[in-house]
This record gives sequence, C-alpha cells and structure tokens, in this order.
Amino acid sequence: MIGERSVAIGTLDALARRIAAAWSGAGTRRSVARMVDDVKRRPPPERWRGAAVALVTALVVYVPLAAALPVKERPVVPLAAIVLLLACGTALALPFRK
Amino acid sequence: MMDEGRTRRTRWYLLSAAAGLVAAVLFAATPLTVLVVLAAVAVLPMFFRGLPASDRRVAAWIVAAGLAVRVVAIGAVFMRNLPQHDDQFVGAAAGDEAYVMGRALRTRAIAIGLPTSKYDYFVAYDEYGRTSFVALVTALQVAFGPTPYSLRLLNALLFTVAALLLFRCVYRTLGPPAAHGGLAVLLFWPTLFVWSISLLKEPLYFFGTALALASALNAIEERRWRARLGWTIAFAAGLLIARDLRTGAIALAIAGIAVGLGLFWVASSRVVAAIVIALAAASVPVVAAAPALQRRLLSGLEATAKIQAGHVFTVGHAYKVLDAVFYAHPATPAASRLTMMPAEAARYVIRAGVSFFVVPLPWQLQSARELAYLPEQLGWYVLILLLPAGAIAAARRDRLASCMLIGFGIPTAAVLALTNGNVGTLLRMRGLIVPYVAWLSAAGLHAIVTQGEDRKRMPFIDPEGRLFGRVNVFDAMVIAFAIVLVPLAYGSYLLFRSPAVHITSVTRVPITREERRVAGGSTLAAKIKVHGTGLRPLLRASIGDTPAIALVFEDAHSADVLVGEVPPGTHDLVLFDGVQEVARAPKSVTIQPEPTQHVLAIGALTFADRASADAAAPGVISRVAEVVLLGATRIDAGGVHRDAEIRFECDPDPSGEGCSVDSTLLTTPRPVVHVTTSAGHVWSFAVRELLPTTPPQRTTARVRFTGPDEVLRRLRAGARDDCLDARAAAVADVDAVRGVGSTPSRDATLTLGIDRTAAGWSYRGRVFKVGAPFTLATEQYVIEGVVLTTGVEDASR
Repeated sequence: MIGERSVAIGTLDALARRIAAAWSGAGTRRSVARMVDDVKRRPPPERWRGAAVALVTALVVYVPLAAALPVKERPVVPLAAIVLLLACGTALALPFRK
Repeated sequence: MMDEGRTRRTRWYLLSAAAGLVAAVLFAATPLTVLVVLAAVAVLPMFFRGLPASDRRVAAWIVAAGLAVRVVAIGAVFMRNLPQHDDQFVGAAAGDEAYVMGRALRTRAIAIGLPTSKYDYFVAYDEYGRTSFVALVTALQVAFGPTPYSLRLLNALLFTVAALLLFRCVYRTLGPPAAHGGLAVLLFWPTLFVWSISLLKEPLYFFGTALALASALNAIEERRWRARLGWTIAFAAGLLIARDLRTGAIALAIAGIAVGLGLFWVASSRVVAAIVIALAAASVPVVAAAPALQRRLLSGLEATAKIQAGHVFTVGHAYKVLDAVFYAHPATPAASRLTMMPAEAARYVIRAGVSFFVVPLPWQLQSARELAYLPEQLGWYVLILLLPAGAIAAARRDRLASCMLIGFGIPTAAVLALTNGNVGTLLRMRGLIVPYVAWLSAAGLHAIVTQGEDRKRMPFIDPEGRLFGRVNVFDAMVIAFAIVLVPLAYGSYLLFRSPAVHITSVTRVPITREERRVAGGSTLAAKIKVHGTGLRPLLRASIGDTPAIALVFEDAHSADVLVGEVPPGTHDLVLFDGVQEVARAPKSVTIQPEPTQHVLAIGALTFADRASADAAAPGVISRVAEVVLLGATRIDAGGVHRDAEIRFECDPDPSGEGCSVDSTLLTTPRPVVHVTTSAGHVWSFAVRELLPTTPPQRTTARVRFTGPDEVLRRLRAGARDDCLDARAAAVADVDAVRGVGSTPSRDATLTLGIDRTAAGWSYRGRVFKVGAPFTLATEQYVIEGVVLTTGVEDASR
C-alpha cells in the first residue's frame, strides 16, 4: 500500500520486476534449467555412470594441472583432489534430491 | 533405434566428461571459489524453505542483491590490486588483513618446505594474534595455495549465512516486516558490508555469535527435547567458533543471553518491573554505604578507564569521557596508576554511555575519511531513535525474542562504551551491535508506519501512509535525509567543529629560571615561543623525532615549547594531540651544535698505594681527562696523594650552571671526581679550583703586602704561590720592610699569569686589578696584600 505509493520503493519495485523478467527470460538460465531437467530425466544407472565419468575426468585433468602450477601457487594436490571429489560428488547429488 | 540410443548415451558421457573437465579447470584456477559457490548453492536455499512465496521472493531479492554487490566489490578490489599481483602479494596492502594473510602464507611456506627465514618462524608461532580464524585461513592456504579473493567470498558467505540465521529467528518471532527490514540493513550497512568482504575475522565472529544467539533462542522455545539438544549443541558450536576471535567473547555472549533472559523476566509484568526498578534504586545507597562494595565497583571501572585513557593516546581521532585531569600523563593501561573518586566514576560512566550513542557528532568529524562515515552515523541515529518504538512493538509480539536481541548487544555495548576512546574504532565496532539493533529498529519503523492507520492515535500520518495527507512517509524520509539532514549535519560540522591547530610563528626566546624548574634536571637546550590558532593545554610537541620536554600552554594562540637534548641541525616543530599529529612547522627549529667544553681543574689525586702514585705520569688517562701536571707524592692520614692539574672534557650542566664530569658538577663546593683510567683504575680527584683552558696572559704586578713583621720578613725573591699551574705568581723582586712597629708593609714585584673574563682580568678566579686584594700562599706562609700596579694596566694606557 505505502510501498506502491512511495516513489523510492516504487522505483525499486519496478527495477526488481524488470530484473525478474530478464532472469526468467534469460537464455543462459533456460539452458541450465534444460540441462538439469535432462539430467533428472536420465535413468539412475545412466545418471550415476555419467557422474562417474565426470568425476574421473575432473580428477585426471585436475591432478596434473594442479601439479604444474608454480610452487608458490600449488595446492597440496592429493588433499585438494579429495576435496574436489567430495565437492563434485555433492554437487552432482544436489539435482537428484527428492 | 539401437544406434540412436547409443548416440544419445555417447553424447551423455561426452557431456559428463566435459563437465568434469570444466570443474577441474575451475578448481585448479580457484579452488576455494568453487567450494564457496557450491556451499552457497547448498546452504542458502535452506533459509527460504517454508516461507510464503511473496516473503521468500523479497528475502531472496535482498540476499541476491547483497551477494551480487559483494561479488562486484570483490572484483573491484581485485582490479585495484592488479598492479601489486606478484608472488609477494598477500591479498591486501596493509593492516590486519595483510597480517592475517601474511601469517598464513608464512606458515604455509614452512609447512610445504619453501625457503623461509627466522622471521617467518617468529610470525608463524607468535602468540600475538593467534586465533581460530588465523588457523582456518592457514589451513585453507596450505590446502589450496594463496586464496586472497576467494577467502573474501567465503567471508561474504559466512556473513550472509549469519544474517539469515537471525532473519529466520526474527521472521518467526517478530514477523516479516522486521525480518526483511533488518536483513536489508544488515546486508547493506556500510561497515558491515566492508567487514563482510574483508580478510578479517569479523564475519566468522558474527557467524559464531549469531549461531549462538539463534540457537539459544530456539533451544529455549523448542518443546521437543531432541531438537532442544540439537540447538544446544549448535549454541556450544557458536561459542566455540567465537571463543578466541575477540577478548572475552564467550563471557560476552553468555552475559548477553543472561541479560536477555533477565530483561525477559523483568518485562514479564509491571509488578516485577516495578520491584526491580525499586531494588535498583535502593542499591545506590547500599553501595554508597558499603566501602568494600564501592571499592570493588570503582576498581572495575578504574580498570576500564585505564584502557579508555590508553586508547585516547593511540593513533587516530580520540574522544574523552574521563575528567580532563586523567589525560594529563599518557600511560599504557599496565603502567597507569589511575584511581577515581565515586563522583569521577559516575561522570565517566554517564559520558561513556552518551558518547557510545552520539560520538562523533557531525561537527566533530575531523578528516575526509571520517566525513565518509557521516551517512552511516546519521543512519545509526535513525536506528537508535527507532529502537524504543521497535522494542515496545517487538515485546508485544514476542517478549523473549525482543529481550534476547536487546540483551545480547548490551554487554558488548557496555564494554565498548567504557573502554573505547577512538572515534574510528567506535564507528567500526558499533558494527558488533547493529546486527541486533537493526531488527528492532525495523520493527519500530513498521510499528510507527502501521499506526498511521489509526487517525486518532497517529494524526500526522493518514491511513495511506502520507505525512499530513500530502507526502508519502517513505519519500518524506528520503527527502529529509538527502536534502535536510545531510546538509544540516555538514553545516553544523563546519560551524561547530573544533578549530584546527595551526602554527603561525616559531621564535626562540631566552630560557628563564622557571623553565629550568619545569625541566626538572633534564638538559634544556632551548625555549621556543609558538604562536598560532587552536592551541590546547594537553598538546604535546616534538622537535623532529625528539619529543620536547614540555609544551607550556598560555592561551589558544600562544605556547612555549621546552626543548631538551636534540641533535644539531634544522628540525620541524610538530604538535600532537595524543599521538595524532595536528600541526607542523617545517624546518622552524635550528639547534646549533653544542661546543665541547673543557676546563682545567687543580686538586689532589688519591691513590690506593704509593706504587700507584709513583707510577702515575702526565698524559691522557681517559676519554675525558688528561693529566697536565703532577706534584710530588705525599702521604698523610687520608692516604697517598699527588697534587695534579687535569684538563677535563665536561658535559654542560642541565641548569646552565657550569659543567659536570661523570655526573659530578664541578661548580659545587669541593667536588670529588672519580676518573676511570684507560687502564681500568679508578682515581679520586678532589678539585680545589677551576681554571680556563685558554693560555694565560703573562704579566708583572707590584703588590704591597701587609702583616706582622715576622711574616713580611719571610718574603723573598723566588717565592711562589702554592699552585701547580703556570699561572702561579712568583716573587721577582722584593723591597725592604717599611713602617716597622706601626703598620709594617713590604712591596714586591710579581710575575704571574692572568685570565680575561667578562668582569675583567682575574688571577686564579679572583679579581685582578689595582686596589684589589691579593693573597700569596706558599708552602710555608700566607701573606695578604693589595695590588699597586699591573702590567696589563700599563699596556692598555
């Protein structure tokens, strides 16, 4: 009531509506949503095999990449690799939550 | 069909591998950012679960905007730091941020075997600044390598999660308007915003305390024992996180909850409140009548006052809450001997309380940096003004939650108010209170606005929220803030601010006895008269880097600076308020090099034994002493002695009354100087008289000696004054005794060495001119006379 009559809040509200409209119509968001839907539609065995491929690829790429970093920038590679596994595993599990 | 399925599966596996590839590259580039983003995606939606769609949308927008602005700000920090990005960079150029990251990276270097120095070990294992935040940062740096920017993201996430923990509590207890308003204030309050994207411990501390408060509130309100146990564990975790991030963090948190529960009990009914107020009033005379209790209370306040007085003398803009006399002598809290009378303590508590809410008043802002805080300061005033209405409205809706929010901030506010004395610190540290005040102020604003629906109770705001039926109340506030308050505050700042200290002239003036008394024995090299504006009694002065002995205030336009031992050269005169430089007159004080003083001392050396005495010979015996002449060895009851003439290099006396050797002032009666020779012996030298080191003027003089006939007859040519120095008068020629029986006299011609002084010629420190008395003391006799003629007098004719 008051918010709609306030110029300040009205302007903010209008801005928010436009940003919301832009977000809902954004191609990037729709592509991501399509990909997540695609993952969700996969049968579980295929889903988990895909996850395994992603994890193995991530590890295979990450370990030499991290080891090649200059010594001052280099992480503790085995530890970081384990964290990567856990993080990717959690991320992959997120879309499958009931 | 089978081919299509195989193609679909191949595409799926290729996409999975591509996803893994992208994850690996991103993780290699910035591992902590990846983890923070994943954590945010996993955690943040939990806080919006169960909210109505409209409220969820509002909260989500506030959080999304808050995070977006933070990401942009971190990007801006990254861009600003671009020129410094080398392998020495620690994420910040200076301050606590650089220290924390530097310490973590030094520890990392030790842990992974990079080249290190002794200083790396010192910093890594230093007790100073050792906190759980440093341990967390160190662990992250060791595991992932330097992460200066993703650590800022982690801090932003921690801060946002902490704000959302409180948001859910407030949403459930005080309602959506207070929750949304408070959340918006928290996420966009300038100081909190800067903290949340810093490399500092504050976001973790806020997370720990917010977790403790939210868990305590939930544990109290929860009816199921299992859930209550869970919240209790979360409460303990919150305390554990905050425990070493701030001095007394656990005590402050527990005290805050205890105060909250106390307020909850007091507010349970008007009768209880009345009883508690009556008891509080009655406790004043009880404390006054019990000296032990009073002493205990005073010693507690003295402890905080010492810290406050110490803060006033730290770098920055100070404010004072104690009586002025307590700031006369800067001291650290440990060295301070501050004691207070009850009245002084009462004034201190009242000033500290008021200062906590109002300092800095707009006209007290001193620098452009402080001026930048003006909007936040005005915002703080608004929060405080809305607080009473908010507290009442919130208490009507949920007494426990409102009391806990008020109570949780009170101990921290009290400690800050009583111990702080620095404006900048106060502005920043209020950020510890704002997260608890903001919700109640938002509730207050909502209460005031919604009361507008009732015309009778709220005649100024109509049911549509218009002020006097004309302007929307929000717009009125924005207009008032932007057009009225800010210029008004800026105008008052210009009008009422303390005049800046300005030096207009610096002149050297003669030192008087009063200044020597003020110097209290310290060497006083110069006295400087300073003219200017805004001079104040407690300013301190410094000549270059050397603190002056004193700044003696006369009035706002004039003061004297007493200068102690300062290296020769041209120096700046610098005035300080505490340790804050307030004025400087470049190259205004010139100190001439002090000429080395020398003096010839005649006296007797005392030796331990005859062999030492016989072995002594003229020559340099120490850095400051050279034996010029030595007499024969003589032994008496006082020991083994030799008369000596020693040339000393001496230090100027602080009082300007001669000079001293080894702290022995030579102008005192019969001084004894202990000279440590280069060989390590200590010789005692009893000084009888002092002579200048300049060569004497040789001259002759006619002297008429008078006295008993028996003594006069002893006077012979060749008799010599009993003095080792070449100045010693020698009788060259002597006439016969005259006037035997009445007043016998005998004239003699003497050759002697005399010195020119400011008062004329002198012989061995005594006036030497026609008519002046003259004493000739040989080893056998002493005879008195009067100078008849002098060679110098003849020469000057």
